[in-house]
Amino acid sequence: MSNHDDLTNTLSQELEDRAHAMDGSTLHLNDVQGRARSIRRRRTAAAVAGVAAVVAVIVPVATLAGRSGGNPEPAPAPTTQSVTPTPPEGSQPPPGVLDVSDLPTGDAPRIEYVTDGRTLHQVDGSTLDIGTRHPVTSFVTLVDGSHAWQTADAAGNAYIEVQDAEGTLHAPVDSYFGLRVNREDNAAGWVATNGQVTVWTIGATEPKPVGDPVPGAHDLRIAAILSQDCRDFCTVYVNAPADGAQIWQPYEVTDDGTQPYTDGGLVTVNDVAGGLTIGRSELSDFDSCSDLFGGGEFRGFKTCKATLMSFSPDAATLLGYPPIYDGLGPTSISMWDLEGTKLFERRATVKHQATVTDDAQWEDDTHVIARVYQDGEWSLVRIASDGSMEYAVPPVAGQDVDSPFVLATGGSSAGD
Amino acid sequence: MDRPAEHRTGTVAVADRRDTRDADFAAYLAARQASLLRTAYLLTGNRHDAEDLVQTSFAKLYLSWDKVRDQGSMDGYVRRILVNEHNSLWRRAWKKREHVAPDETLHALDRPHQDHPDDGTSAALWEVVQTLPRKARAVVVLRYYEELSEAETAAVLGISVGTVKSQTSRALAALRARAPQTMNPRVREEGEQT
Repeated sequence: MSNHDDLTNTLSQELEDRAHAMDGSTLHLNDVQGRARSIRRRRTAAAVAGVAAVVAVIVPVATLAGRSGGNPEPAPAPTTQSVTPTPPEGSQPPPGVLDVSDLPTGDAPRIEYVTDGRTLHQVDGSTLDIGTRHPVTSFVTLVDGSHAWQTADAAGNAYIEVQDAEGTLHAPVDSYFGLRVNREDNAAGWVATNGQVTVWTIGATEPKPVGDPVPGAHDLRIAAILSQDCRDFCTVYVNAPADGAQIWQPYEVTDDGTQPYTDGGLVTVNDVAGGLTIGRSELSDFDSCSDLFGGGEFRGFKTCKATLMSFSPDAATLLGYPPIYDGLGPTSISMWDLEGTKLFERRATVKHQATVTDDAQWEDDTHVIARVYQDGEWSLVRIASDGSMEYAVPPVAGQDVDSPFVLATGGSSAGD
Repeated sequence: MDRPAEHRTGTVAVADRRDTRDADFAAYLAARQASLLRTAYLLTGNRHDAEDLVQTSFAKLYLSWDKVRDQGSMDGYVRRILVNEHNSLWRRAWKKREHVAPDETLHALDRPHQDHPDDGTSAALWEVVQTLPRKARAVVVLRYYEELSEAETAAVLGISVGTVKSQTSRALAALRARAPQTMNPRVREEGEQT
């Protein structure tokens, strides 16, 4: 602190003295777990109640198989459309402000999404009961209609439940949290709990291991799948903890083996596209810097004003979040061009305390769909590269740390 | 499909993973709860609410533990949960602030530890702090107890640095206006001249 006068010195001393009265805290893991169970029950109840407003009839899981592009059987026509509340007029908040309390309502998402962990909302507006053993926490839809569902049990353990193009749902396999798809939407990838990178490719009947298990086998996060066709040769990037839980080391995992990824000196790889890579080059408790780099004469840029998270489908625009995530999630969202020019940034304010999750998905080259929480409600918000916003799904009641919505990772091939 | 060996292996792996995660969390809980309780007390003003706030904050951290570990900011994360939870508690009409019944033991706990002589101005200052709006109070606690910079405070609260500056300025102005006159430099200077 600087410019301390008597008041601030006395204030600091008084706060310190008062705080010291708080000794003898005896909170145990069991206490926390009990409260966590209570919160989880409240969340579930709220999610079900909120989703009930937009879901009409659920189609059995068998219909899901019929939706496959490679399935010779004709897919039954969707039996229902989602029913949404009458859209309010809404308005744009001031430039730079992330306030989603009263937006205009636009089209429904042009990517698939899941509500309550159980219901798939397709691009045509129909809904399907997913039928996985556990609720869905993320998912990928491949071009042949197969799905990789990442699910989680009540204890928070993650699994992958693959549903092949024929609609057969395979038994859950253990995984770390994290699910990625390549840009061609023909391969989904994850990391098994033994550190083995695994992919599911179109037309497959079983998952394919890639490379050797990533060293450490602890809290491994898949970052990106580089290959256009993993059936021929697969390259996957994984972020692994190194020297404790705070520092990360990316690995390049290929069919030839597994080795640390050192290009660009990145701490984490966040996305790859068209020969370009983005990731964090510096990371501490209070700050981070991100780099964009590529081959040849491409210069890229470095910024400590945002975490560069993903490329648009045409790899011409970058999605950004705050340099560091504190609290319930990012409180700003931005887009950048490849020269490092910020196209827009919207930030939460004291008056409008919105939080956006860091998994917004590109709907097309100039729009993302983001999950946003504000004032006890979750909504899916379409955000354009000019900073304009509209509801893709209007707000529903929900708990702050758990959105009722799950967006398709990598957008949705079904919508192409 | 009958694969008992694989099933056993999978079950053991899940149990091991859960145990490892819980052990990591328990270690973090043990290391950080005392510190967090102190901050919670400064935000809430009483031990009962502070303990409740800390328990809820750690529970939310527990539910997000796997996601949070992606980031290099565990302390910042839980601190922001704490502040946001405190704010949201205030927002909920049904969650009226519960005043602890007069009890000598609790009063003793709430009595500050002091290593310096106090002429009464510190206690008066604390009373004024407790009357600040909750967001201004959070700024004061983060800036003058946690000793976070303006940028760090902004990150925890999810607001801009400019907003932190203006909130701090307004809070200090309120304290100067309402704290004992001996804390007001202008009044003190006038007194010294006479």
